[in-house]
Amino acid sequence: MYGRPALGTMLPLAGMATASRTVPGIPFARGLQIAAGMGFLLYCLIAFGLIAARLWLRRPSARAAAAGRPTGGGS
Amino acid sequence: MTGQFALWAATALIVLAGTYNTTLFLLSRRHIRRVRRPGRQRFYVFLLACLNEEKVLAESLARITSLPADSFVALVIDDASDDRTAEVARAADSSRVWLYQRRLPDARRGKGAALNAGVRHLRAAGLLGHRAPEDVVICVVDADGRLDPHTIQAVDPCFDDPSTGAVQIGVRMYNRHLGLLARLQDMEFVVYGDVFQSARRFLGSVGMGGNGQFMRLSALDTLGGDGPWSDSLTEDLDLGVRLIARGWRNQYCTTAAVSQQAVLDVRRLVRQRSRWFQGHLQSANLVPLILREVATRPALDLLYHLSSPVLILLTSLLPLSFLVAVAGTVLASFQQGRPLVSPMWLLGPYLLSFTAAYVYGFVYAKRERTLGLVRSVLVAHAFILYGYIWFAAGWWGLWRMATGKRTWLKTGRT
Repeated sequence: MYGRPALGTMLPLAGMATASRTVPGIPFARGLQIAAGMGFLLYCLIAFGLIAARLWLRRPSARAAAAGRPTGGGS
Repeated sequence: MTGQFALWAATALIVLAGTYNTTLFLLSRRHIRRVRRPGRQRFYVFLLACLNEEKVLAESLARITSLPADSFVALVIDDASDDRTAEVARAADSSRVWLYQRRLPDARRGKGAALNAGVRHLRAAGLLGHRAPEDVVICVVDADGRLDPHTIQAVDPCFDDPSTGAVQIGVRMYNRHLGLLARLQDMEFVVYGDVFQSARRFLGSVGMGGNGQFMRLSALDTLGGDGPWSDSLTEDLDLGVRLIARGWRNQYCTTAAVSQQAVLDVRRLVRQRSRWFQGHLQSANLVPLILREVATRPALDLLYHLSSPVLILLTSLLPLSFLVAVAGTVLASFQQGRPLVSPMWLLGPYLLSFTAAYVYGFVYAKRERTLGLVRSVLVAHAFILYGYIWFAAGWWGLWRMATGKRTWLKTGRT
């Protein structure tokens, strides 16, 4: 259900890059977009952290330890 | 420089959502061929957690008791209603409808607690007899839920696979003809089911939806705790994820649906969605479980799904930015006496926002053939704007969470 709201603000963004800064509201609009972008960067950072945590949690030695057996090689 | 980088990140946010939606649409077009295996007869128990549902319960029970199947009952869990809910249940076919009344102060602790009490009652009262838990299927139906007559026949083959823990069926709005808002909610559930849930069958991450949700009792038994359902505001989402983490397979049945009542008032709709959003935020506590227990492909999809409230809140800043920029430019155009708004400012957002309307219109027209493709695509344009409701609901839900409000904002019936 999520992830489908309307997304169309990209081209205004491109337009804003060339728009005069004297147009009222443009600095505020740009600030909103920057806030969204910074938030997304933070989201990506946390996502990468979670994926790294998953790799660490599911590494063979951790899984073997969870199952209560030695990590291979020996009997 | 940092600002420019952040602007590109905002663009990446949109690209990510677009790519995800497109990928799931393409996946959803694949078909699953299911071969029926001879199996044991299963016993179906429909659970209806009811708090003041006298207006809608009789019709739902009439639908259930007339299902063309032999082995099923409905258990009405009256959660200390003030109205005639218990009376309505007693008036139904007593061979098919059982009533379990909860009393205060134990009652009215949320839908999850009521459902847990219902399952405990089934066992404590010996209502399941000597049936094996793997042959008992518990189905959660909302009090206003109207099941398709062939629902049991459609769902039953999914349970032939012993690894199937739960099956979700489609959800429709039976009052979808009563105006645009009801129609848009119907489209929302059709698109969610026929695109996102259908695609998740191939990712192993099908979610449960609270209405029309079938679960094998032996799968529920593996969840432990005080009962299968948590006290989350979205206990259905929570349960679906925990089943996957326990190694069960969740399936989505495309050939049957339960119809429920659409909300006909925008304010009540936003309130309902704010509750869902808040529940979705609470489900963040499932992340460690997913990281530890779930296979990579479903884990990635579940993490994206669980984190989507964050993306919605971030995305909500972008249309606001667009409106501010357009308003400012129109104002400047008047001041300077010449148009400063390029047609591209309108064409670009249209293409980016409304291309999806053609896809969703196509998907909806296949379900709602009487509407036709052209009208369906037109309704889908309104549907794109309807998606903005999530922005309001999202910030409201976040506010409620931040201020510690966790009450059950039950959506009233009409």
